[in-house]
Amino acid sequence: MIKVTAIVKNFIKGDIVTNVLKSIDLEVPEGQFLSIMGPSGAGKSTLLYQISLLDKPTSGSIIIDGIDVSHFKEAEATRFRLKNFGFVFQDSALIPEFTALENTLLPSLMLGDNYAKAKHEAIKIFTSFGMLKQIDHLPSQLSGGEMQRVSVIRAIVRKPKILFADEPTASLDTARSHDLMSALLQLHQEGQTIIMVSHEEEFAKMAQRMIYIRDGRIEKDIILSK
Amino acid sequence: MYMPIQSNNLRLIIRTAFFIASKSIQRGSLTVKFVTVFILLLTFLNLIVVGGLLVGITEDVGVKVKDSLTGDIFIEPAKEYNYIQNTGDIFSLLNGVPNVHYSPRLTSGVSIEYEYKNVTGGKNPSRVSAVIAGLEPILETRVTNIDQRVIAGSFLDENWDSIVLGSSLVDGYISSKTGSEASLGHVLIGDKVRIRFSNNNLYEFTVIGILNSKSSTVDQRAFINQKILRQLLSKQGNDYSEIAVVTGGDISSTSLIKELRGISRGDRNDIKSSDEAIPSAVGDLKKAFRLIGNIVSVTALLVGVITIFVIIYVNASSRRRYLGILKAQGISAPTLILSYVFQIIFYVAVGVILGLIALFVFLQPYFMKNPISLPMADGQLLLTSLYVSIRVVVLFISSIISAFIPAWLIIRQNTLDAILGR
Repeated sequence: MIKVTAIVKNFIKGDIVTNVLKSIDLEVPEGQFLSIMGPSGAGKSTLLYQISLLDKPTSGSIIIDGIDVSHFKEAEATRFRLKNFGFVFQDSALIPEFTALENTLLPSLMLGDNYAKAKHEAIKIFTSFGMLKQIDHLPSQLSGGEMQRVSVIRAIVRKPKILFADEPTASLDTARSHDLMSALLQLHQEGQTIIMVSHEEEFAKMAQRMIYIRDGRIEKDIILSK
Repeated sequence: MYMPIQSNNLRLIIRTAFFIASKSIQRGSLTVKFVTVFILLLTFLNLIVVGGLLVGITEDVGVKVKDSLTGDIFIEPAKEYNYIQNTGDIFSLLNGVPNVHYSPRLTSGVSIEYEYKNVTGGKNPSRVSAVIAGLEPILETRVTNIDQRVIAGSFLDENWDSIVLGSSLVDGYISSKTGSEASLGHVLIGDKVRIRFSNNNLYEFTVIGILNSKSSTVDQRAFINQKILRQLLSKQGNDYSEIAVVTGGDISSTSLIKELRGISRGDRNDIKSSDEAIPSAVGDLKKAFRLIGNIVSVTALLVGVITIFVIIYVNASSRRRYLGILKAQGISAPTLILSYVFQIIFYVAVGVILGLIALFVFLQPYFMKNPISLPMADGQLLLTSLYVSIRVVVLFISSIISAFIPAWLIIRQNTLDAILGR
C-alpha cells in the first residue's frame, strides 16, 4: 500500500516559486495498475518522481507499506529503490557497452545474487518476453521496441514491489507501444503494482485505475476495471 | 511486505563495481582506452626516466671521483699541516689488513709551460698553473682506474722524464672542454713541457699521455713519478699530501676509517670516506640534479593526473544520464565511483607494465650501451627496485585520486537531475 498525503512540490529559481504539486492525496493498493494522465506541465511526472523517491517533496508524506519514505536521505532512498522499485523510462536508457542481458543483471548483483543465479533469473524473463535471441546483443544492435522491452525486463527482473513507468511508450511507434502495454498488462495480471505516467489517453485507459492531473491537483480519479 | 532496508555491504559494492568496470573496459571506446593507457605510460616513463638518468649521472659523478681520486678512503693532512702525519703507523696498519691497497701521493702547485722554445720577441709561452701529483704508478693502478682513462698515449711509466697531463690542461682531446679554461694548447704526445716548481726549480718532461677521468680535480692535474717530484721538491720520503685507500673482501671502510682515526691522534689527519671526500661543488651538483629530477617527476605526475582527471570528468559527464539511471535502479554512488577507480587501476596497471617493459627491455640496455657523455660523468639509467616501486605506488595513488574526484563530482549530483539532463 502506498499512501501519499498532502504532497506539495515547489520549484524555486531565484525569487520565482513554481508550485507544481498542490497538496495531492493518493492511495495505491498493492497490485493496482495506476495510470497518471494529464496535459504537459500538469505535474504527472513530478508526482511519479516523488513517489518513486527520485525527488523529495517540499512537504507532505509518502508512506510505503507503513514506512515513511519522504524523509529518506539519498543513500537510504537508493537502497530502498534497489530492493523495492523497478523503473521504465521514456527511452530505454540502456548502458551502451552492456549487452541486453548484462543491462538487466546489475540490480541482482547489487542485491547479492551470484552471476550465474542472476543470469538464470534474467534469462527466464527474456524467454517469457520472446527476447532470448537478443540477450547478447548490445543496445546498438536492438530496435527501439526491443530496447524498451529490455528496459522492462531490467525493471522487473528483481520482482520489485512497485514498477514505475514514465511515458514508456513515448518513443515507440503504435505497434511497439501496444506490445509494451501488453507486457505491462501481463505483469499486472501476475500481481505487479504499476504506476505509469502517460499523456496518451489510449494507453492510460488500459490501466486498472486512472487519475487525471491538471495544474498540480488530481482532477479526476477513475476506476477503469476491477 | 516490502523488503526492509539493509546496508549494502562492501563485498557487493566491490563486486558490482568490478562488473561495471570490466564491461566498460571490455567494450568502451578503443580511442579512449588507447589515449588513457598512452598518457599513463608516458607519465610513468617521465616519472622514471628523467629522474633515473639524473640519479645515474649524480651517482656516476661520485663514482668517477672515487675511482679516479679518492678510493674508498681518502686521507689528507689536517688544515694546520702540510703533509699527512704518522704515515709510518698508517702504512703499518694498512699493510696489516688483507685485501687493502693504497696509493700515497705527493702533490704540489706548479706552473706548466709549453712551446717555450718557440717563443720570440718577448712573448710568453703557453702557461697554466696546476697541481702536480707524484705517483707510484704500480700502487696507483691498484687503487684508481686513471691508467684506464688515458685517451691519448700511455699511462705513467718508470721513466723519470715522463709526464701525463689531465685533459683540462690541454686542448683538442675532449669536445666538452670549454674555451674559457686556461690551457697549454694542443699538446701532442712526445712534446716537451717545462715545469716550474714552487722552489723555482725548472724541469723538462716529455708528455707521454693525456687522461680524461671526468673528475675535474684529476683532469686538472699533471702526473709524474713520485721519486723525481720528491727530488725536485727536496722532500723527505715520508712526506705525503694524500693517500687513497681501497678496501676489499670483508673489510668495511667504516671500520677501517675508525681504526685510521684512532692512530691519527686526534685530528692531525683528515680521514674521509669516498662520499665525504667528494668536493663540495660535486655534492652541490648532485643535490641540484636530484632536485631537478624531483621537479621533473612532480611536473610529469601533475600533467598525468590532470589529464586523467579530464578524461574521467568528460567520460562521467557524457554518461551522466546513464549514471542517473543506474542510481535510480538502486546502484549506489560508492559502487559507481568505485567502478571508475577500478577502471583507472586497470589502465595504470597496463601503463606501468608497458612502461616496465620499455624501461628494462629497451631504455636501460640502450643507455647502458650509449651512456650520455657529460664532462663530469657518463649518464646511465639508474633504476633501483626501491626507486621504481615508489614511483609505481605514487602513480597508482595519484591516478586513483584523480579518477575518484571527477567521478565523485558527477555521481554525487541529484539522481533526477542526472536522468533529466538538468
